[in-house]
Amino acid sequence: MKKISRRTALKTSLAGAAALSAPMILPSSVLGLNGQNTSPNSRINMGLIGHGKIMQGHRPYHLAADEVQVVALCDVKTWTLKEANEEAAKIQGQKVDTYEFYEDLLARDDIDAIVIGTPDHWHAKIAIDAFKAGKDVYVEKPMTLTIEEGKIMRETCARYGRVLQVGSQQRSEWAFRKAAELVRNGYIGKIKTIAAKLGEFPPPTQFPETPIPEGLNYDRWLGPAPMEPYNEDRIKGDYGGGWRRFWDYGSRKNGDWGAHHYDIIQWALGMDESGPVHFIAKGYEGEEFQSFLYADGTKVMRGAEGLGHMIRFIGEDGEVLVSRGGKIDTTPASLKNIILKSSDERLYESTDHRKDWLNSIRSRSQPICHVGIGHRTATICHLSGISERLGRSINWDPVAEHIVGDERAAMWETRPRRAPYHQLV
Amino acid sequence: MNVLPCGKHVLAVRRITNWYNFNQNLFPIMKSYSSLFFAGVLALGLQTTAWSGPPEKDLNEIVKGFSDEDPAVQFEARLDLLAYVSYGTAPSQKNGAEKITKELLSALKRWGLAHEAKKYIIRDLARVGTSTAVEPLSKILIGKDESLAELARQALEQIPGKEASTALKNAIPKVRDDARRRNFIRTLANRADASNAAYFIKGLQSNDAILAHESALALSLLGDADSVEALELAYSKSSGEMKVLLENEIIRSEAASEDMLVSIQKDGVVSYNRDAALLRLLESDYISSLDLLKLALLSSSSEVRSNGIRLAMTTGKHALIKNMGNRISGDNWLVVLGGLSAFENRGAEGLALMAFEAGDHNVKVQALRALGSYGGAKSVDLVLEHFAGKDKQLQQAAAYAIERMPGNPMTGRLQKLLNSESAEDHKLGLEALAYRNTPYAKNRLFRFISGDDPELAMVALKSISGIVEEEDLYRLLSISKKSDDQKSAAINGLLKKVAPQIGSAELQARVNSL
Repeated sequence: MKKISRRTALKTSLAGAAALSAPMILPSSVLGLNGQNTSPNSRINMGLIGHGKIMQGHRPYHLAADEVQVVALCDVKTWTLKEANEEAAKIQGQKVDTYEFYEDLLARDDIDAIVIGTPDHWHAKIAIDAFKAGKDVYVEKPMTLTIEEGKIMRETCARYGRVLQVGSQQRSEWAFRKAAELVRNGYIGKIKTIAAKLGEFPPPTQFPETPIPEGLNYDRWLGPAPMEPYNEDRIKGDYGGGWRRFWDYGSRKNGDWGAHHYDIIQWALGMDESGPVHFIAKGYEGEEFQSFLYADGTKVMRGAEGLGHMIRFIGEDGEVLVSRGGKIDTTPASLKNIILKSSDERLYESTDHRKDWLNSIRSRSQPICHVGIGHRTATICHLSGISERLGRSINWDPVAEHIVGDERAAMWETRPRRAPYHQLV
Repeated sequence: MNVLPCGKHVLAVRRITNWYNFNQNLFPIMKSYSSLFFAGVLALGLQTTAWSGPPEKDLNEIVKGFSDEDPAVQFEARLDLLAYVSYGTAPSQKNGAEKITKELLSALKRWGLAHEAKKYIIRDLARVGTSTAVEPLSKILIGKDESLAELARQALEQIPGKEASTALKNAIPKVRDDARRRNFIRTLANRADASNAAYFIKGLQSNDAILAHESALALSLLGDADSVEALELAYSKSSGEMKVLLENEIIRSEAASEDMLVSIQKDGVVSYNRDAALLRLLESDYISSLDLLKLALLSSSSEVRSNGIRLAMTTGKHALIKNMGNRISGDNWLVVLGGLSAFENRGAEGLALMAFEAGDHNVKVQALRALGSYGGAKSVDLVLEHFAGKDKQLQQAAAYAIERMPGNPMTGRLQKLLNSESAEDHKLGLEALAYRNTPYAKNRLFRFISGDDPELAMVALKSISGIVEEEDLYRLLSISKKSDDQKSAAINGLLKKVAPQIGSAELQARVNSL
């Protein structure tokens, strides 16, 4: 009989855990888990809001999770809701209640937690209302549309003692944690520059107006965003464009991928409670890259040479390069194999972002990417976008959390909200 | 440099247009999306454009673009307008906002101005408008064009100064439609302008349900002592939905009085507000808050106890947790483990060990992980026992703890295991070395790799595989040459796997020749 060492067993079981964390399209009852590991009374009753692209990962995960009971779905498109509910029936064994208006879902006392998978311009309002209704929240990244929204979310979340996880799930990938720990503990010396690869969206554009399809509440989809003529291409979920390309609903690539990579950079630099101080638009006074600087001079450049990686940390004594899928390279090469010393600073470890949130709901502790972290990262996304749109550099005070020395740029810390959606708090 | 000054846009547009017209014949699909494609190509060049220099188009020329039939040119006009306004209001421009406001208002009056141009001019006034814009915007606010009126409302919400507040207050009685009136009042509320406090304090007492409702929101946004006092007074006399609203608004007001918080904590309509009130009282060290917390910790409801534990741990009252004894149960333990950072290390270790002893399987896993942060001498045996055990989840948690446990107790124990006479101890110690950075760990591993016990050599080889550096690979090459076939094959296998990842070209060449 083949002998299996503890280490092999651990590796195998870790792989098993990773496999389990992937979406399962089998009802927990089929797996014989229903009610065995978790009693129905202790399950987390969950509502899922916004059934676009990103929810296609969250929904099957939570429908199949033994400790979760999905009890309600919400979307402004009837056909999307129908498809989502068919999946619920397939995985959980029965359909659940559906809602066009998230307020009706939040009004249910039996719901403990919600997942927000809407476009960015709805994140803050739904989350704030959820906190006030005693719900815990998983909100997609970036956490907010504006800096002001983030401050209010952070404050409201704390007041009600709620648990919020932002969907910047790279924090739950080991390679990013390893990279952050190497940087944080000085293994490549003082960090000088960091390259982050965000890619490009097609530019925002003006689509011709087309009829609003039956079953879509377009006014509700727009919510606080400016009224624009309907066109399917404006609102469609598309990782290569769709609504993500428009400033009205987000911060374009700075929000979409910046929310991931800037988040890891903040983590690695130990700046989760602070942030950069200076933002420079690409092309401003000959600047080759859109960039931002921390007070110690560390410069982050969007689009600088990353040698095939998503993030490249360049230090005085070496480099750490990291990407999704467990890709990590270092200079010197052996750095990536190093075991940290027990005296080294260790970072929060999560291997499953959604599970980490569920654990935090039970323990009432802060998850790996909590509201304060999400706000600080989103702030960088927004400031990068503001600098880009204004075509000038801006200074940021990360303590007071305000743009300084530019009264008009400071007006962009918030955005006008369209009536009747203009009450944020 | 990727800057394309405004004047050059036109040339770029022409060049792209010619190219596009040529290609349209070749690619019919482009024709159906002609404007979109055109706009896409155009804006691809513009999207990262930075307007560091003065705009080359004047405002007159820019607004003409909005009248063009081609959406691409209209879109370009939006970008040009943003660039123009941005440059004109940059900090380097003296009285820039006032100057640009006047220019935008002047453009707005132009006969035959495209509706889209009006929209975007008013949108910009929300960012840069000064009080000079208030009067013209007030007229648009109550005008017939609903889309422009809404944009004017947004601008009036943002423009600094009393003038905008006054204009909104004047506009409110002029609208009869309830929804619109509510919008206007809320706009005034969102301004959070202290000069409106008296208006809203009076409004809160009004029989006009809309005004009273919006006044409650406005007063909590203002948040000053007088405003919050008015909210508290109204709360004591209210009922139904208004009471819920007032409770929400009082809870989020920093100036809420302790008496009011006590009242909400005891008799609040919304349970989440009761918890929030208790948290506020604990944070402010209210004299009776400790008694309230003790009551929560003694509750028969596990959920109430969990909330109490969380509050105790987040407000420095964690000492109370130790006295809860067997009242901590189920998920309560997870809350305790989640808040261990509130304790000093020994206290945290003690609670983690208690949690391991008393908790279910999930609690045990979390407790072992917690020992990774807070574990000391008392925890070493427990961690190693489960590292050597058969429960995979506990094994993983123990490995996590071995890797992270602070200080010397774990390191010292591993050294003892490796120095022991027992082969089992050696094996356990060698396996643990894969997780913990200990002094001379590699030397110890090499000793076993070079040693006579083939089983321990294999264990050591596996442990070292994840932590080798280039110089270690050379050392392994050397050992391989001196080893028997079986061991040599194992070492060479490791070298072939690891050298391409971390080895130099020279080393890789040597490994390839094996």
